[in-house]
Amino acid sequence: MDIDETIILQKLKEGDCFTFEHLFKIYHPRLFSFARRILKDDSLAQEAVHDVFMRLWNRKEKIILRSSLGAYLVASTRNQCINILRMKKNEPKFMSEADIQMAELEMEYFQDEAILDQLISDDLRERITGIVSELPDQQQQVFRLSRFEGLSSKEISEKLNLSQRTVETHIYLALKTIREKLGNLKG
Amino acid sequence: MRDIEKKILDYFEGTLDERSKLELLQVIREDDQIRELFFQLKIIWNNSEPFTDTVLAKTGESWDRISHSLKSDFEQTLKKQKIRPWMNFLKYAAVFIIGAGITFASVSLVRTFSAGKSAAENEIIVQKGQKSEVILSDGSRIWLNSETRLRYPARFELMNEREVYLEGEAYFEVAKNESKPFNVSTGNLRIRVLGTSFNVKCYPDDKLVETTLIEGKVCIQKAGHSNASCNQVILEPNQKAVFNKSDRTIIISDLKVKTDIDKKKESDLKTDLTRNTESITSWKEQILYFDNESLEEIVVKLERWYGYSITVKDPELLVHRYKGKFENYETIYQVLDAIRLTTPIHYTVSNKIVTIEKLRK
Repeated sequence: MDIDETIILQKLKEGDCFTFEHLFKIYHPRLFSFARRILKDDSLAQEAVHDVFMRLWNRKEKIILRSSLGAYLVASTRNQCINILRMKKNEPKFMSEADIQMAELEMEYFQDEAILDQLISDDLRERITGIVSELPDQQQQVFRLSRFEGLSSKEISEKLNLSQRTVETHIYLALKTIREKLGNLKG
Repeated sequence: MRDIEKKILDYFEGTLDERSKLELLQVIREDDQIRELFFQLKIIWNNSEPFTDTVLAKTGESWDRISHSLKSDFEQTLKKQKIRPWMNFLKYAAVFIIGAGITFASVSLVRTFSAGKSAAENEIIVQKGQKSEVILSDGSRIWLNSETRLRYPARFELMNEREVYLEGEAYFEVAKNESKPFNVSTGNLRIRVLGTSFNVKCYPDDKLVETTLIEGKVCIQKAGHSNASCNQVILEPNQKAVFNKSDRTIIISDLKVKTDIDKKKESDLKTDLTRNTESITSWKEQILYFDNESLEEIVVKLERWYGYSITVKDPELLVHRYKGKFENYETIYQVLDAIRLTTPIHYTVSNKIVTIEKLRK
């Protein structure tokens, strides 16, 4: 935990609402994106993150950080998601069997706080952007369209007049290169 | 690509069917290496997409909700802190606010806190119905329109670039300093400047982000695409760039200078949607200007300008277009009366709520 975080936490414990707002604005988009990927439902994800921040405020005096605020918040969000999965599991209109199992497996994988912290850090995003800009031209173009612009492989293949297979190979190779260059995420 | 790799990618793209998903799950459970591969690629996949507008809109929505439920807690701390932020503000920022006057009603909150890895930041929030003006420590001058937030570092000395964050509408006169570019971030866009005057309108509720250049040169980049030359546009004086949040396109149009719009015939104006530069920047001289704007657009402007909330009961009224200029000392009643001169409407005002409807005989 760095000095800035100690100050932020101190201010939060004093009940400083600006610090709380600041944390909310920084972490909400990340935590919400994280939760909606697991729960596959915007309003459930919103509910989960709402509860995380309510708890942060209501229990602010008692918080003890093991690693960082980010890790603390994303761990709370993960736990909240696990609770929701447990509660909703048997509702017929909830997620499909495979999606539930996948979410559970993912939650299991993300037990480690170090990897949780990585998940929402700007540092990781910046490193990825950096690596992408060094990819070979066509691979880079395809990957940017896929991830930064949110196009599907099919849309990209039509746009660039490539086969869908080629597009998918480019995306996959880009992902693999990024993984290699990032090194061990768990470390 | 191996079969399993194709499956992983399809899963990420959301095109994998239930049966293949179950097969994929099985492999992930049994094969440690594949499990590691799958989740690490998933982290990269998830962290390489920019936060979309939908996500950011949710943050705003959720903040409204949580700050509402914690309102009484917040008020307590605000009482305790009333003096401190101002002291910090004056000490570090060398900023002053013009606004003890009558029309510049004052800024609601100014605050300083140290956050993240960055140095102390200040934030100015201008409420509905108010306007303000600040001069930053580098000499740049910024006019802030109603319902606007500006966040900026207390000092620029330690930074390579000058960075400010804007929500709402502001007019910038940036002090020249070629070694330290000035950047305005709006969430969707980043505007890079060397020394210049321009207007930015980027309210979170609006579908469009409008940048109008009066003097100098600016470069506009879409957020999440820094330095990618295909994602930026350069604006020349008297041009306006309109960014559409939904399809993320930027359209540039040339603006008319004040004189030629006055020469235009009334009939031309009905179809001409291009605004002149004066209509865009006049707010900073306390002039409310409608340049052939629909009632729908005018309602939004009036709500911000006067801090009233306005309901139009008959939607067919919304398409009527109006031209007009009002000084700030003119009240909302005078504006509504002017609209009533040309359109048969009836309005009522109570408790800062205006209701407009068709005049019924």
